[in-house]
Amino acid sequence: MGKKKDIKVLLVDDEQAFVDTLAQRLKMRDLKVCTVYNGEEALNQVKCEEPDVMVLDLKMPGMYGMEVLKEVRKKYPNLQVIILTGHGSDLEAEEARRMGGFDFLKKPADIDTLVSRIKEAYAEKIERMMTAIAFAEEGMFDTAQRIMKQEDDD
Amino acid sequence: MSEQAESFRTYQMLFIGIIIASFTHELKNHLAIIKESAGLQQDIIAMDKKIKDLGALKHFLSSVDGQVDKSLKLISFLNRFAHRMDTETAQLQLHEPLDELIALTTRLANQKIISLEQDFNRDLGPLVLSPAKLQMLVFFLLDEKMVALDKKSIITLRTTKVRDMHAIEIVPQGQESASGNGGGRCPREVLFTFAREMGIEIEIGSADAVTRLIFTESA
Repeated sequence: MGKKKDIKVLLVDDEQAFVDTLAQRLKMRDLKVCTVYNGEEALNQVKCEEPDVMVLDLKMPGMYGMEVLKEVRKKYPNLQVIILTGHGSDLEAEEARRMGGFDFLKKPADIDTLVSRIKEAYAEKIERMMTAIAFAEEGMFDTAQRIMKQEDDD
Repeated sequence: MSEQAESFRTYQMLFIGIIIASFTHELKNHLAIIKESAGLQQDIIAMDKKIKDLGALKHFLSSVDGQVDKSLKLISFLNRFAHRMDTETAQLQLHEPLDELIALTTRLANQKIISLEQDFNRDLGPLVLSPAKLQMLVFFLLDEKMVALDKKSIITLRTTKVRDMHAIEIVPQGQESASGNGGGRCPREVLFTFAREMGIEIEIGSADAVTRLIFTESA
């Protein structure tokens, strides 16, 4: 039987006490968690080791969460992003989804809801990859590429 | 209500809204930490995990304590800020409403990675002024500077005497922001009008970009 793959999660939030505690709780639920405390560190970390899911705060000093989301969607289309913010207006929630964010949750989020959404985000990622592989095996490489990049069909 | 009075009320509400939003965001962060820490303790009990590292457990518990203290401090500042609106004018040392203003606006400055520093002469002698109106005026002038400056800049708020009159100086140090030409949230001409009504003359240095508020009735 194959070894179960741990879902790799990157937590991005400037409130260190919050993110460190959340990391502990997610690790207790068998997620593999890395933490960073600002947007620039997040992009550097993703460059070194791309996680499966990023849980991203919006209001951080320096690089705002939306800027991080924009960069991530551009360079790492397979990386799922869940916004977890204490701030978020409906307008920001809409913008985050439009920019390709998987979900938008408000702090403090129920831990089981967060874990559930992380697993759903990961499952969606895997499904997309399998679909892309299937198209690639049929020689439909453009379609496979569009699926991987999450580009909408016109 | 005159147009001017209405304009003043509008910007006063904007100022109050910005301060409250900043504080509630920070309070929410503290509460989120408390909730996660409580949740972690519940997880440890529920999963029947042996506590191997008592030091880590103590750290998480004292973090809850620390967050409660920070929240209480914030609430106390917010309460004082709210009660400033109760008095039209009061005899105060010039630095008193500014001490509070720095506490109120530090988080906003931190978001832009700008440091707010103070250089207060606490022996200038008292003034009769409206602390709420002064806080609003200085806030919007600070706001203007924060928009104009790049990250890692410093803004120093100073109390001093200029031409023998009480004065506040807002001293920027740092690079200009590439995108910072739009001005602050309150137009300058409106601020100048507010200031005049309060007996304050605003001077903006062309060479050093220092903004001076001179209390012309204090000489």
